Amino acid sequence: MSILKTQNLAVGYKHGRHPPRVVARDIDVSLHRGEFVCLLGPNGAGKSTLIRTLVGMQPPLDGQVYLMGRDIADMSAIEVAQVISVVLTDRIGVGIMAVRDLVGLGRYPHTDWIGRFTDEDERVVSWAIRAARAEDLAYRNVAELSDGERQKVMIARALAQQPDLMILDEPTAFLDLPRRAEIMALLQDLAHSTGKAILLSTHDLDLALRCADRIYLLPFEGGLQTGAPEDLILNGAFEGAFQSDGVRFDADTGAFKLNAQRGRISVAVSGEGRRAYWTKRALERAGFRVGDAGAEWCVDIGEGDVWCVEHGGVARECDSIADLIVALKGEHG
Amino acid sequence: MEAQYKDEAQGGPRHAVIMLGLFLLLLVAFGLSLSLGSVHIPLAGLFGILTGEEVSSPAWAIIVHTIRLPKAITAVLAGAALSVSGLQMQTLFRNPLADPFVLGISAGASLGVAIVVLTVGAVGSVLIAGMGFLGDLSLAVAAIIGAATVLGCVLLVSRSVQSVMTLLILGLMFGYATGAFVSILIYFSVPEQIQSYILWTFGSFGSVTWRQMPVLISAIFFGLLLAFLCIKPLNALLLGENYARSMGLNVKRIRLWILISASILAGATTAFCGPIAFLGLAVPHLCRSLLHTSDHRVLMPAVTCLGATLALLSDLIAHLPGSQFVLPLNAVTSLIGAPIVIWFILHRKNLGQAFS
Repeated sequence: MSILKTQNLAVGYKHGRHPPRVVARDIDVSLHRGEFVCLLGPNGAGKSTLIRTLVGMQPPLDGQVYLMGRDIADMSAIEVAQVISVVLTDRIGVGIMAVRDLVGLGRYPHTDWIGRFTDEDERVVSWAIRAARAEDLAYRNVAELSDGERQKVMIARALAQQPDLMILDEPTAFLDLPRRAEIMALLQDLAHSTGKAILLSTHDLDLALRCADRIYLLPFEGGLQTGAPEDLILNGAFEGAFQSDGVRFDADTGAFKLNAQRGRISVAVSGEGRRAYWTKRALERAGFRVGDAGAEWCVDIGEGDVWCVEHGGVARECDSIADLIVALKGEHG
Repeated sequence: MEAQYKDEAQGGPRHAVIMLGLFLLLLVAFGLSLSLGSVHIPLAGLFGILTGEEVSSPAWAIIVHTIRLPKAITAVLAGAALSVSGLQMQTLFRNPLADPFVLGISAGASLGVAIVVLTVGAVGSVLIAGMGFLGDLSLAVAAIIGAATVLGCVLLVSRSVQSVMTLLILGLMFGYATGAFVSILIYFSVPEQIQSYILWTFGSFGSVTWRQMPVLISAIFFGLLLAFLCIKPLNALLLGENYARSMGLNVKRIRLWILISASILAGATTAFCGPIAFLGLAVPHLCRSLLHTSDHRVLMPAVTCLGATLALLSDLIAHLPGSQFVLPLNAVTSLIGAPIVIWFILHRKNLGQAFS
């Protein structure tokens, strides 16, 4: 049985008597145990709205969300809390609190009226901190944590809630690349080792493509598409979703390419290896078109740190890429 | 370092010691407030009076029974009520500047009192002459009606308001609006009436009689009971309403209960003692600073104890023991309290973390 299932779900906002503003519609997905799923899509396509609807923070405009086979609309907050836990983008201002106590708040749906801990609760909290690899933070003050540390702690808190499904809204925002990779790897590992389903939204395309078991792709139009990351690349779904004037998804490399103002002047680059690659990148960045042999300008990458520019039989040597760009631009004012 | 963090985090024994200290301090303050005043009553005599024995000076027994005991009990109740109410408001609105009166409760009470005090003259001076006990009670009744009206408006609005920030601003607006009414009333009143209104705004623990006491006690016990039942939800609300909801909290319902509890506490206190400033704002901060935690399981009892103690001590200072003079209570709470809090906060340097 799927943990979470949606049927004809439409998400968006309702303001009084105005007609509702539908952000995304016809969403049919199901999430299974042990699955690590990334929700991708351009800004404004409705990722956060979808996430908020899935966790019951806002009502769907149409359709149903089923949690363990039950309609989420018929479930109490505490019943939902025993299945789903979340990590949100909300700023947390818990005041003076040790990390361990914050993680302990995750036990909320399991403790008595005043929140007393049993040995079992203590054990789960310790496990959650260990699983989120936050042992060395356990007795630090929450207010003193860095962004990356705080994110780990919030993941530990979500784990302590012992959910079947964890939903995270952009958990890697504001983190540097190593921290992002660390968090993604951690979540992937948690999904596979604990059998929890994990759904997260992210803008980190590259990491998502490398880590996710499945991708939910939410473009501006055309509805949500799901599939293995590679399938979505091969069938062109990615290119469609992230189409814009500025960039283009390159299905060959799985990365974005800037649709730089393709220059009128073409420059041929001869040479191979790393230096040739970065020289081409630099030329594209500076607004030249990297063309084939026979272009009006030729750049020859020689031995050592020398770039040889040739134009109309006149040759000139540059000793850095910056120098090369200046030389080319100088000619064309 | 690690060991110290562990100690701070687990808190247990350290918190227990501080709690015990706070409780003892409360007992001492209670004893002092019975013993000190314009007439000094030695501790031995005090015990005799309280246990109902024959004492050397019957005047002492009268002073204690009719003046000091009700005043001390009122101070304990009011101090605890305002401080707990302040703690609830600060957590609910996630704002370190929130106090029991942010929702306009005291403004409502003020309006009730202002209407009674400032319009009686218009109805006829016969009424004033015949007021006596009834007059005292009518002030409290007017304040309760005023506070309850504002509370009702706020609760009604809170049901349809999504964000607490909106609620906070609405409360402030209610406060300004009722304040404006009071200004208009004052503008058309004679100096004597204005003086008696101003006297009420100075605050006092001394105007509650034994006959009124059961009303005050039951209101505040009910408010405190609700507050203690909300300890766990308040802890969840430290993470913000979205997280609280995701952990299974029915945010709208809990918000309503917290508002009811805080308003009863603040409303009842204001009705019987006047708008007492400062305690509700400062005591929660002092307790956070002292106990180095935001956990309401620890804070709630600590705030109750310290609030009661500080109310007793303020009243004690206001009565300038050994003299016949009495200072306005509000002047004492703020004048002496503010520097203490400033020193404490600068010294401990952890207020900044309260809600950041």
